[in-house]
Amino acid sequence: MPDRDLRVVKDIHRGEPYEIDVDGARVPAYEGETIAAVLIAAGHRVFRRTAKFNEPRSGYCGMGICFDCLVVADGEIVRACMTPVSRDLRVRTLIGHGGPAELR
Amino acid sequence: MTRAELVIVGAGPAGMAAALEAAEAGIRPMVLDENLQPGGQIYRQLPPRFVVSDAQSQGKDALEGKALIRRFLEAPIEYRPGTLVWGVFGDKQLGIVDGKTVEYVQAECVIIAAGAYDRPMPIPGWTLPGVFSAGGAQLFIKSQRVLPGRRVLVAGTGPLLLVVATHFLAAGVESLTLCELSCMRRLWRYTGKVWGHWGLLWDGWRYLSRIRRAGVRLMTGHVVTQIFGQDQVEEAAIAPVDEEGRVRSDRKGLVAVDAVCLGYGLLPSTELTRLYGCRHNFSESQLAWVPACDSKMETSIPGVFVAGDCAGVAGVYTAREEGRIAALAAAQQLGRLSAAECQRRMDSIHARLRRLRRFCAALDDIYPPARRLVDLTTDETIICRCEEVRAQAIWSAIADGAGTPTEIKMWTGAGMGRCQGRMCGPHLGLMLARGTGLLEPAQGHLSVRPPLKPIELGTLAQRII
Repeated sequence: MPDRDLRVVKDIHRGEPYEIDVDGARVPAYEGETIAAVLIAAGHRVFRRTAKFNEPRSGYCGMGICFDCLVVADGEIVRACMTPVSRDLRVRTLIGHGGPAELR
Repeated sequence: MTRAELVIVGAGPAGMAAALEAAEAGIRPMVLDENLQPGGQIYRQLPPRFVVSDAQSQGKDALEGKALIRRFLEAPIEYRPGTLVWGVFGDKQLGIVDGKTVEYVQAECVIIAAGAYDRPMPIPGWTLPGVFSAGGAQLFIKSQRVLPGRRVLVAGTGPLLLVVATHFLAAGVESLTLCELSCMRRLWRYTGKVWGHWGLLWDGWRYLSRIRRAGVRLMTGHVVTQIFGQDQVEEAAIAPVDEEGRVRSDRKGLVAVDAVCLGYGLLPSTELTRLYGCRHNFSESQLAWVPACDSKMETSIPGVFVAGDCAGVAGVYTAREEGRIAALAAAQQLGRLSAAECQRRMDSIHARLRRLRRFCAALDDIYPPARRLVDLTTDETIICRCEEVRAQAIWSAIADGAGTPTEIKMWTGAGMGRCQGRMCGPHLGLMLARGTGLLEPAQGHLSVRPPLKPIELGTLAQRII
């Protein structure tokens, strides 16, 4: 984890501050931010682990094409780069294809 | 079944320009866009509640984009954000999904303005967290104001790298290394092609001088050959490339980084035109399949038009002009414009397009996407990120006789995952060409089928045509 978050603060006023739950930890977020931006800002690099080789992955394309940034958000598998956060969102690292415990 | 005279897929510069031109001709087009806000990638907006204190500081693209977006949102257009086109059926029937609602739209004319994405470049370590496409990294800074890393390597080829680097500098990074594949020699050869494009040249010059002033390590004629790290990027190897494009691995150097941004040019998004069955040609200068179209942007299927980067990557200004051309041609087909009036309005646009295309041809020459880069792919490199297929499996399929990308897909599973071959498909073509000597026109392109992006079965099942 970096010592301070990776948000750029110069010249910008963000929306309402939220706090979301990432694997049990409280992580700061702002209204309108994508899940990917929130995770990257917090230094949370591993979004999921792959099904075959258990490799760490995060986002690659950043625009909804590669489907590598998948996470479990409130029980559903979503693309972190395309999904805005909501208040009290629960984000879980996706392990493989996801188990019944995480998925709705 | 919903009906629409004209459906435009994509609300980037080409889609928005097309919609405005169509509205001008008295059509109320339906614009479908997967993003939640208009703008596409180049004009991607900040979230609605974000406010910048100095609008001028956002740069020229952002200001030009804002002006276009404002006109787009005020015009009589049926704009549907957050809507994915996942299939085409019969004659111009589109399957669309908005969240969990599936709908079918019967269009009379369709303009596809699906844009482009960064060419994926599989090298060892490119699946590590902290490796981004150059365009993706730029989006995090531009539209979310988040830095993908503090010690950054930007590597690849093309003018986009300079733009990405300046975004990083403006946002504040600890260190930045810029690795450009092109040797950038003998640039005077292009004088004729770029003559007169003072605005674009001035943009390029400004980017370059900002980067030089900031003391960035700018290495031309270099590539990143390997990325190292445990659970995220820690280090990257850089090597020079000689005049023939051979990588000199013996002169490798290492940089300590926490983010790597790879940008080897852009690829047109052709999933929809391929699904339609439009004829495509392989462009050797862009190393990509592009839909064949006439001077009115109409594809081989009557009433289906293309505009912008999905019709061949040529940048934002070309995209806006092509969008207008496609809309005028559609308006004529829909009986809203006479042939003479349509031609009259197109003439001045065509003149501008010819000049823009000369400039783009020069850029393609200066920054050629190199076939040789396939040599950077080692046996262990993951080619298909979705199905986790390594190069080794693909080479052995080719050795066993797989002769088309679709055969490789059936034999190895590469291209069968969630991204539908958007990431690995073009590289399968390069590998096949390397292994068999047969270039892409002889191979054909990877097959696509609906849904173009994953949809839950429950969502799909709610509504049958």
